[in-house]
Amino acid sequence: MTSSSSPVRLLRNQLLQLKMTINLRPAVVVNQHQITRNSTSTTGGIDVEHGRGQWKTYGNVSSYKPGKFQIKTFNKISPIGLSRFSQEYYDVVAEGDGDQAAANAHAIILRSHKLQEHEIPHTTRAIARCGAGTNNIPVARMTELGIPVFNTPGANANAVMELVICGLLLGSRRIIDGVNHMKKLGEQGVARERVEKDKAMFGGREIRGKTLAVIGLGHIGSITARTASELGMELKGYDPGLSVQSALKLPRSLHLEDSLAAAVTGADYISINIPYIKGEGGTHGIIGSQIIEHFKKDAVLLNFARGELVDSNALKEFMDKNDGARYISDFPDDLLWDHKNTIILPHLGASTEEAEDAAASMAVDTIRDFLETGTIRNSVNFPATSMADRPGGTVRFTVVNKNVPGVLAKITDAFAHEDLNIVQQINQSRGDIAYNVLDIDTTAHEDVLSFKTVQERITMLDGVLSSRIIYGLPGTGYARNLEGEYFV
Amino acid sequence: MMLLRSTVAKTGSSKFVLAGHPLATRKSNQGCVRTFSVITRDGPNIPVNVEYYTSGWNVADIDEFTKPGKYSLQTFNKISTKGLARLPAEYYDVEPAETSTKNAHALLLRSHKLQESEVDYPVRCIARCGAGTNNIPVARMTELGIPVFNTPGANANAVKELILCGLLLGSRRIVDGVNHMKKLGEQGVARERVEKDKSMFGGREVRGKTLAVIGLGHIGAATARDATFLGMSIQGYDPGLSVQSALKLPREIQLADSIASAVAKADYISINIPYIKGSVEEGGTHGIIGKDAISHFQHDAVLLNFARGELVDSNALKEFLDLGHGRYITDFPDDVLWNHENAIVLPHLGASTVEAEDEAAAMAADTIRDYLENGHVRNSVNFPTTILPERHERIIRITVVNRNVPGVLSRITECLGKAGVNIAQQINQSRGDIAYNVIDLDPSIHVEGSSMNLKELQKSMTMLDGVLSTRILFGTPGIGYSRNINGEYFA
Repeated sequence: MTSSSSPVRLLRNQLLQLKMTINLRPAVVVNQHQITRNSTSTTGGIDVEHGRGQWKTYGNVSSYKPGKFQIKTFNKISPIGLSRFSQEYYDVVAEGDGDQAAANAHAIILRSHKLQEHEIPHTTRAIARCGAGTNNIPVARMTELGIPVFNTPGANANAVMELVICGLLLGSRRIIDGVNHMKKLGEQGVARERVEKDKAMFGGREIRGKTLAVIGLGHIGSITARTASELGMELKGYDPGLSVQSALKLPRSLHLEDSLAAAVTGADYISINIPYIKGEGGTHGIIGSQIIEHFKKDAVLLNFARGELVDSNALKEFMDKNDGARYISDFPDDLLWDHKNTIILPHLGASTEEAEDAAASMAVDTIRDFLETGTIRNSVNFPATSMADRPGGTVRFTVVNKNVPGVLAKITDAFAHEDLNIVQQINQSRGDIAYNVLDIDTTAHEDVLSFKTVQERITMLDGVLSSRIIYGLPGTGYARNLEGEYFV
Repeated sequence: MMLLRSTVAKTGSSKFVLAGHPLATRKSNQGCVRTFSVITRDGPNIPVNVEYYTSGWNVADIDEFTKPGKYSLQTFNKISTKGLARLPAEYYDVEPAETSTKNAHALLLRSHKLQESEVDYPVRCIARCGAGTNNIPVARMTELGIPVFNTPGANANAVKELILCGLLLGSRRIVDGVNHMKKLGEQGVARERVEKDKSMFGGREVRGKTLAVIGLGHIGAATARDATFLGMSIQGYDPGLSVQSALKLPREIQLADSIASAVAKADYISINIPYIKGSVEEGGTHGIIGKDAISHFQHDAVLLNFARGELVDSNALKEFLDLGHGRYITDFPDDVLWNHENAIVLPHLGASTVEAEDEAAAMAADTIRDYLENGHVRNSVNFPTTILPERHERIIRITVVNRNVPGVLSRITECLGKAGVNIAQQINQSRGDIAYNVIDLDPSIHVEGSSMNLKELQKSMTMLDGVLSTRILFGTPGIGYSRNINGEYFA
């Protein structure tokens, strides 16, 4: 809660100019005109509630411009991607921009910043991660709060694939050691004399004709398999959840195995490309002693997925016994970081301009689609939901609720009670969360249509977490049920 | 190969040691004349006399030599045993040159810098496992009439894979990143710092970028093709593009008409041409990537040199790299750029794979066998490619190496005519200063029972003006080779 200090007064003045007031105690009814992209104007205005409930302010409240979505970014996000937010409806503010820090972020975009709950204001409708893994976001908690978390599957695929290929080659001749050795010889001024003799320490083998096992055949695994095949490698794969989409990308000659152990048996190179899932039934240490015992003595293990997928102790035992074995990883490893047969890269898998642009673009498009039309895709916790374009003369209502019986009936009931017609609707659920999109007919009503009451009623239903009215004015229409308290 | 039975008759004969020759210091010799029977596939035995060991031979091992013959193949550097296994032990003795007490008939080496003194008189040929022959005094070998072979293409896949690695190493700062992680590890702060520090080592992808390949031989063509699998567009330049190489190129390749125009559009440039001494004006390739070519580079071009260090003018390149956006990845030491922050210098690992070593050794062994047993010349850097088809029936094959001057061929055929031998087929090829002849003789005109004395024939042929050496190939390894060394006969 703020006191009546000058920043708030300043904002009051600004808002008054727009005929909108924020008052932290009484409810305020605001008259707004409908501004939409693709619907005809209505006969009357639309009333929504705005400004009740526990607001937190972050930084300088005067930076909040009503009528625009505020997008807060953590880490450096590609400007090419961010430019996909139209300047008319979006303000993009980076965390740490001092006075410009987003006071009331409506959506958050980040890369690998470790997001804390206190960094997420009540106004946040969505969080998008530029990248595939979402281990840096408290996703389960976001689901509890009814906030969808998006990622960008496939945006980094080519970048990671190219680094895996580099890893294949770095694991075949002792190239890094050789480069460092040449530096030393250079310092002693004996490079030319010694190179032909010393090079014998750094030779190795070719990848052509060798067998690569790819564990996990999603976006990254499938194109890695394909490129390796074009470079003359034999391919084996393992993926119990292989999708049709990914299967289409695989090289025809790839041999699918029915277990991880079978896949790594006989493989000269092994690439792990699966997500890291904590806990029971998860993938922690999935490359452990039981799998490693099937490795060839001179197998090269490539880990460009997540460090925790490999049991470093088991791998160290194996590598200490088998001098020909190699480990190339994109992740820090407390145990193997200085093993002579290990190469550790600094998590560069997605560190290319192209991947950063692609991931940011995908994240922006996903957020825009969610904020402007209520569509959900590329979410790690919410169900994929897409309804046709909002017809003219309607308002789109979205409701997030806990996936328990009876909620949908109560929602439709609430509209019927207000004599509001539902033109079209969709309902999807995933795990503990359910998501509804309803288009409500406004044409039948001549006078000002107040959604105030119906939104509050719906939002305060048992099981509902939040609701949103999408009708054109960015930054408004979002209401939440915070443990029985109405926040709007 | 024809089978032989032999009897040996030792004679005392005069010494024949050439003054000033290294072998002159060896013990004096006994000459011996061997009589051989030629057993052709479907004819009677024809005894043949050749002179043997009349000059400059080390007597100490004459017994060794008079055993049913084996070729003595001597190696410098470690040669792949898999490749050497292609030489049947029955006919070939393979041992390292340093420890051998025999005279070598053929030499096999990798990057050892060969001295003339290491080339024994009886050496018929030299094979290098690899493509470049800068470590062999080739011009001098040509003067002496000794073919030098290499193994073009044997290393191609190995070099290509290293170039692909170079493409990727030049796109993100991977080597720096790995070394940085080591430092962070030593300080125990790898986990805390990696997500922050990694931004120092990011870069770009190769997909969608353009690669210019200068030189489209075995290695260049393979590189061009595989780069297309990584989604790259290819610009190629090769004024001497052969049909054979063109067939290996990716269909989408765009051929440029000069190095400058090829590199102008390129994000990455790979140079894959041989090093020929002499400046470009002189017809060589020294410093061919110099100020002029570099002036056409894009500001963030990545130059890959897995061919020869001397192809690049390091001083000109340094100026380019100092601007901060370009990169140089090379397989060769560089006195100017070895510690430039935008250069990565690998030890010469292009061919350092077991597969390439096996392949090169096998190719070299096959080339030597073909030359020693059949007189065929292929994969030679100084001799003309010469292949006379399979000899049929009752044939004695003779090869003659001569200086490429007018009149020698007619003198040879005249010589043969005088000896009354009939030529079944023959071939003559020349290349630069050297010419090579393979002549199949038909011995059928001889009266059965009498021996065909090739001793005189060989000597007279070898001593013809312009002839450097002759060989009679008739099955027993290690004999039948005679040389004309500055007018002195050596057999």
